[in-house]
Amino acid sequence: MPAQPPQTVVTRAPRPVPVSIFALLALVYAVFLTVLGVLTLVEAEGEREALIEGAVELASAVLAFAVCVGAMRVKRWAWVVFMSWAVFGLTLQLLRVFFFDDPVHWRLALITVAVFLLTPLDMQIAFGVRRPPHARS
Amino acid sequence: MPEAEAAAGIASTASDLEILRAFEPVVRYTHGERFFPMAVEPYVEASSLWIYHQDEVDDEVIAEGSLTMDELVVSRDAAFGSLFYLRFVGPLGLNASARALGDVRKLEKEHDTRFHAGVGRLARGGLLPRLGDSLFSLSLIFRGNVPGATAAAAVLKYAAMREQEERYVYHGRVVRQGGWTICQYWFFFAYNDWRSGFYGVNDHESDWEMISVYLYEDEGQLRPEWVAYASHDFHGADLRRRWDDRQDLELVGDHPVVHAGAGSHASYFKRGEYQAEVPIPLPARVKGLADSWSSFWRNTLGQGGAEASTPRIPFIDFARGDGLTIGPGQEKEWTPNLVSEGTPWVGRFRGMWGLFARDPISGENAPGGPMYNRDGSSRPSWFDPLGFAELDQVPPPTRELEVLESQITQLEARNAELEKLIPEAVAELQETGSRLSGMTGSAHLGAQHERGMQRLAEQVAHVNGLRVERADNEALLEGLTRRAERAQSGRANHPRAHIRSPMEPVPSSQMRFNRAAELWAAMSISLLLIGIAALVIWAPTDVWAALILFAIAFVVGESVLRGTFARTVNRIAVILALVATVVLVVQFWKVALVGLLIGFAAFLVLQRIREVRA
Repeated sequence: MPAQPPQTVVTRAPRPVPVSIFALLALVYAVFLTVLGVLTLVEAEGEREALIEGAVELASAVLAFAVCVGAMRVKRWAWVVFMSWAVFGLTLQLLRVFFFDDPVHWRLALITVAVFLLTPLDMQIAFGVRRPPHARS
Repeated sequence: MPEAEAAAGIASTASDLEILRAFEPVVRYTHGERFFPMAVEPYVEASSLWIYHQDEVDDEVIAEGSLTMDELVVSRDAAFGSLFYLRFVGPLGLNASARALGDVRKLEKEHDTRFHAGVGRLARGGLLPRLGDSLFSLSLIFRGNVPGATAAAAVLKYAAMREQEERYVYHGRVVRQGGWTICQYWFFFAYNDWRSGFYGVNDHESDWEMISVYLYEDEGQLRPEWVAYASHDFHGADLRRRWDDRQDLELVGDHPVVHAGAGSHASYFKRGEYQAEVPIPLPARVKGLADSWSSFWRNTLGQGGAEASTPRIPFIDFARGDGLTIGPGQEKEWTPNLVSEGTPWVGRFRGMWGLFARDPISGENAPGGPMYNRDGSSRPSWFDPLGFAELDQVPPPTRELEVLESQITQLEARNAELEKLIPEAVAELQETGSRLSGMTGSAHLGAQHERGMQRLAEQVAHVNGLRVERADNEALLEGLTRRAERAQSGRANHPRAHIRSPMEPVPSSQMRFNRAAELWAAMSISLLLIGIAALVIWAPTDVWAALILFAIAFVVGESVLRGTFARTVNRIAVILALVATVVLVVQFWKVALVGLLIGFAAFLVLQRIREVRA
């Protein structure tokens, strides 16, 4: 009987709890943006600015859904996309706080919580953004 | 030495000069190097001697052309805080400076000695280090420094000397310490042009470098065991390699190969380009803040990658080994010059061997001689060549077994003693314990009982101490016995066992940056400054908001080119999130407080319910 090749058992590391919390937040945010986008488009009545606003909200909803799915699967790209988004969103909101006086505080808070959930070293390692300490390259 | 091969040696009855010649190094310089090891006499005779006074203008003691080796070592009175120094290149006027710079360019063209840094030099450091680099260059305006044209004038002066008499000299000495015979090879250069010639940290008149070969005596032969190369101001075990360490130490016959840094003349074991990091000295308060931030970043925010609390500026030391090679059987050979403490210029001139530039961090001040530091104090590498490379704790191989056996005997004797002492101490402890239990219930013996308890505690500590000592000794004995068995069978420790953090050349994979990254690195700081100026002119009302956006876009763009995007957005996001937290807490402190209290209350309730249900 020919020798069977040894079977490789792939064990997935469990998804960290903060990642699940983050994915839930992303899902809620995506649903919110979808509803907001649809309502904006319905009430636009052909007005160009409202149409663009609605379309942007729907596109953001799609992105939030994608990040949610990517986070559930602990994918590196989801982490990178979200962090880029966070840098953009936080910069925008903080500029509104300091220079234009019309911040959206709940968005600021939401992104801040998400950043603190996903940036500790163990989260970065889980997403494959960093190697574990002392890992061989 | 390892069992494989015993290093070739030289009869221990050989003269010091013969010993030096037997192991003199082969030094490979980088293409573009302009100064090579030379005799001190022509340098001194072409220099002037000056004295620095703390509160007055410096005086010229002996003018250029009148200084001789005898004059150099004459004992002179000087007030506390004064310093004598040589000056190889005198003050230059504007015309002389321009002429020197032009002549050097011509000379380089004629001899094809132009140095090319190659792609990637600028892109190797990030934005902040590059900004630091620019500030460091600017700081030269405020710190004392060697003027730019001085290097050019020194190149011309040295080239003329070399044309007159082409000799490559080392100043060698043989020292016998702790069972070792040490050959020290000192190299004197007219100038260190690392900054002006090779984009390095500093320039200074004159330079002293040194390598040591450590020999041990075995059956009438002196055999090499270790080699230590001095590199910048480093010291310790990382500077030395064992003679059989083929990973790092290259040999040409019995001659160790040195790769000298271009301009800096620092010695390296392997050819390559080394990234030297210069820490920026910070005031204590700023350093404290930086340490706190580093700890907060790592421990509180849970971020990985130790954020260095001391900022460092990376510089490249090019030790390519593709230029002139000096050594036995090479393109050029050495002229040895035997020196000792008795050599007048070695022992009696305590001044600096070049211009004292008044640089408070000393990078641009000329060094002292081989025997002395800049301030005239003793140079450890001369007086303690073993300690310099942490060899004072290592016996020569032929004495190692003897040392090990003596230690084993001592430890065995102590353990035998402990075998007797421990039961005696335990017996005493038991006696004290019995006496104390006998006192229980007798109220009138309270004070005695208290004293007894103190004694008991002391005895317990004593017994524990003896047991710990015995256990430690046994572990140590095991190690020593194993090592003695290896030594007996002629097997040495691993040749690299002593190395903690060796200097390694930057791998070529890390040097490969694309043209875009290189171009960006070259222009980014200037672009940043121009961008800020443009914002001030064209967006004066929103200048701060625009500046923040501009800075973030700049940093993110840089990270894309350097391939560090994920790490960079992580850092920026965390910093922005911290600012956002402060904003939210200030704005909604009542809500935050209420939330915190409710959360704490809920936690307590859950805890108690769990306790009740348990």
